Amino acid sequence: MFGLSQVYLVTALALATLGLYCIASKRNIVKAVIGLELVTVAVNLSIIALNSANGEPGPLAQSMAILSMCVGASIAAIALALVVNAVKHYGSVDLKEMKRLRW
Amino acid sequence: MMEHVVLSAAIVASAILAIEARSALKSVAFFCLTCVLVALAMGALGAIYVAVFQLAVYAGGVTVLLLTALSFREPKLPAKRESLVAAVTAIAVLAVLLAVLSPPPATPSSTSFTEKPYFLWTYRWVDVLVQAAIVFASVMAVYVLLFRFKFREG
Repeated sequence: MFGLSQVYLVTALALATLGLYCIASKRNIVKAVIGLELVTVAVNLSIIALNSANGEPGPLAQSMAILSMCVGASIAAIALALVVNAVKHYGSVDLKEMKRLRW
Repeated sequence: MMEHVVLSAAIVASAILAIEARSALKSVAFFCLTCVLVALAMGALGAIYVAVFQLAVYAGGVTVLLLTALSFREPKLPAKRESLVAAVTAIAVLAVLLAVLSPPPATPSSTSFTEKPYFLWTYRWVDVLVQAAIVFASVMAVYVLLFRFKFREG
């Protein structure tokens, strides 16, 4: 029988998989950033779910989750600044048209 | 247990909708819904403070950032942006110096996280200082990325 934490661990695994699929397959660069954020949300949920197997999650896990949220928000801000620059440079949000990013 | 399974299914469904929606605006809206549902799940697991941060940071801040990036065309620069950067930097440095130079509370005998699991919770100023440094670095990075070309022109 699944417990509460196992249910949310499976949810976190599904979220991470969906995020990675979005990063790998979508051509819209904003959707790629959304996929990146879905992965970080999944990581935060898994931190809390892993530490709540024996009741409430501990304070260390909650502190680490809050720190991880701070890092995730910073990643989003920098990624979106890069998106704005890329859209201004290429005039499109299509990742396939940004071939000049390659070496 | 049934309500948790339903909540999990709703989280996964809204994430799929966020990925597969045709409009980027709808994607952002479904991403916001996913973040709200994940905050509910964290609250159900007993992490109330983390749920509040999830709502504030992801459902609030990151969603607004995504919406801003969608509508971003040409940045309207302030007239005296260098002085603004200098003022922000000075205030940040002053805040960090005040935080570092203020007398800290009595340090614990051991700083091992496994031996003292309440370390970060009790001494939140260490954690907050690290977070302030991360946020400051990211704000500076975003500023440089967005206004680099304008500086070259000037």
